[in-house]
Amino acid sequence: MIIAEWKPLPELVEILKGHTNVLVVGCATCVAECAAGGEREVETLAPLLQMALKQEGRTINVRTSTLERQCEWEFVEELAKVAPQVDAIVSLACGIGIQAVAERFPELAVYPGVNTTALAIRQEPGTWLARCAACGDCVLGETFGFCPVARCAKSLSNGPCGGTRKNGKCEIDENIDCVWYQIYERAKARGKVEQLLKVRKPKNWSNSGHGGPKRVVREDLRP
Amino acid sequence: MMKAGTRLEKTLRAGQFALTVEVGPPRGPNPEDVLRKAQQLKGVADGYNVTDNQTAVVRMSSIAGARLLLDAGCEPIMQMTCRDRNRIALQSDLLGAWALGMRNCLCLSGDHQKAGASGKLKGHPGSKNVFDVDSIQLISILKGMRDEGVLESGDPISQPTPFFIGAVWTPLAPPEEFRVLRLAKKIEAGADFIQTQAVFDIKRFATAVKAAADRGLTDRAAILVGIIVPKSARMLEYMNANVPGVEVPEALIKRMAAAKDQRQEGYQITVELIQAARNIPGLKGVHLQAIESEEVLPEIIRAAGLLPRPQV
Amino acid sequence: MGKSLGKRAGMKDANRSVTMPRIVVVYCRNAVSSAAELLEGPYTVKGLNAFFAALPCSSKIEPSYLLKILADGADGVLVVACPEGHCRFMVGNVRAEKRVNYVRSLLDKAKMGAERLTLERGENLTEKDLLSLAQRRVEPLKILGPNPMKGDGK
Repeated sequence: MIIAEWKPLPELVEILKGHTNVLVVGCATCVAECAAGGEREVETLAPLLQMALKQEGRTINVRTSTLERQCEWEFVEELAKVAPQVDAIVSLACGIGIQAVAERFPELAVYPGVNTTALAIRQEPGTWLARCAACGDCVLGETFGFCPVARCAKSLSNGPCGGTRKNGKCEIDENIDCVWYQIYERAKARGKVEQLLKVRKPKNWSNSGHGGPKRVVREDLRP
Repeated sequence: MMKAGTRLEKTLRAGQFALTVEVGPPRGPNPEDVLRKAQQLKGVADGYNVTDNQTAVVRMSSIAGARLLLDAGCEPIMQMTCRDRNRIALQSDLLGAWALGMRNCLCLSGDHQKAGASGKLKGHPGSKNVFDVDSIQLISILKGMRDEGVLESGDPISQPTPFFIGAVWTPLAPPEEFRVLRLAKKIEAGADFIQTQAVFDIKRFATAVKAAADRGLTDRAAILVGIIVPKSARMLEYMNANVPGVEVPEALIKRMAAAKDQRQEGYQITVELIQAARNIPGLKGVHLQAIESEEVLPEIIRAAGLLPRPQV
Repeated sequence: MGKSLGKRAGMKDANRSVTMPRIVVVYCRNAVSSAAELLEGPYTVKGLNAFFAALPCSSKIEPSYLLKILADGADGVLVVACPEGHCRFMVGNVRAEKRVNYVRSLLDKAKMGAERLTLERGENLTEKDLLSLAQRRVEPLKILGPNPMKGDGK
């Protein structure tokens, strides 16, 4: 899922100081899965914002809503009734949803309530780990199911670097496994270490955001 | 067949035990800071590494520092990491470096900007890193530019750029069994010489070199063992605990801690490590580093019996 | 549950002095002795301005409920849970503590004061015990001062 996390409260307070009627809108898909922007989190942030702004001497009215998915126009349309009643929207969706709302309601100030950070899996309750970097040139079949782009701090194609800690963790974060250590262990378990001896050529990054803002068209699906 | 004809290359080809030292460029633009080090170190080594924003701390560029050293009579080994530049900038800098007289280049992945500066410096942990290519791909790029006169794209350059190509080996970092195989990859990609991460456990290192020798690697590339001059027991403890790939035997830390003059003891330990290294079959030299204290190197090198450097 | 509870708990009691902190006690009914009658609703006698709500398990609390109770004007919220290892739903009382700690950190960030929300543990509690637990919050909440959210016409 796409994961996000709340922006720091002081930042949100600063943003909302100039507003009176605010809508906090969540999304019941990715951001709900990562406990950042689902209904629960919307209903938690709303009273918190009221209280935080009160501490700054500001009284704001907060309305709440949670859409099934903020990246679908049909769902975003549901906000049409409440939009005229507010002067600002704080969206807890990922950047895609926030922009969909902003595009549909260009007359309103639409603010991100979260920072969208990664494509991740929920490893266990309360722990999300980045898994995919959307590089557009997937090599998972050659790295035994471990992504070296998203899970290696240096995105090495021919890792590991010299920074693997004694316990197999990554030099830059002791809580993160060195993915090339994991790739090697998996290759060893499968008896395929020699596959790792091939020098992998430089990646073609142009199929990802590095090649420019992505635009995908499927003629067979167009109306 | 000579690849680039550098002093380092000639020394190795002549079968001499090679010595390289590291020069850290200044955190400022003053060429005097480099020239001073060049004067202190002139004539003591076969090659002088100039680091490339090591630990992601901004320093004078490796190419600039290397040119200053060259002008001062110290043949540089320029270092190039993959952290800050994409393949376009790397290849462009290689063309420029060659034009400015550089002929040795060490290829590294580079320290991640988050693992970088500790202590007093803020560093640039918020910067966007590049890592367009990795160190092994960079080695291939240098090889292509040297042996085929082409860029990574296949486009030709107006003439080849002969470089003596270097790579780094960290034999004691996990997964240890794979480290020799990755060394093989680097040599396969085109590495001519190897400088290792700092070694304090000579025994374990010797085992790793033997594994490399068994695979024929010590004949295909010249391995130089990295040795850092220890300043104190605390420094040894710090490195053992915090620098991946650096293993310091307990006995060595104890010896340092018990010493009356830890600095002197450090010099002595360094000399002993160098001498032990000379006895490792297949090992072709030493890469000596004295972090932020290059001025101590000449004395140590003399005490280790490595002066004068052989005529090549 | 949270919305209505918040509204009822936040209602001003016109007879009480405004300096008397309004405390909402949310307690696990399994922490209370079976012989005791469950305290429910407002309790404004004997120097206390409190509101009691029983839950089938302390883990029924949600951060949003706790925050709404405070946003609606309560000066303090006290959660009463069963002792560790004694939850009839195994780990409900552990989750309750995690949520309380989370909300306390949020209250700090909002400069409301983490101390407005506390957790107590107990078993076989009588009505008197519950009242005593609530009473113990009065002084600390007086020191913290009235909730700035009061007087918003809620």
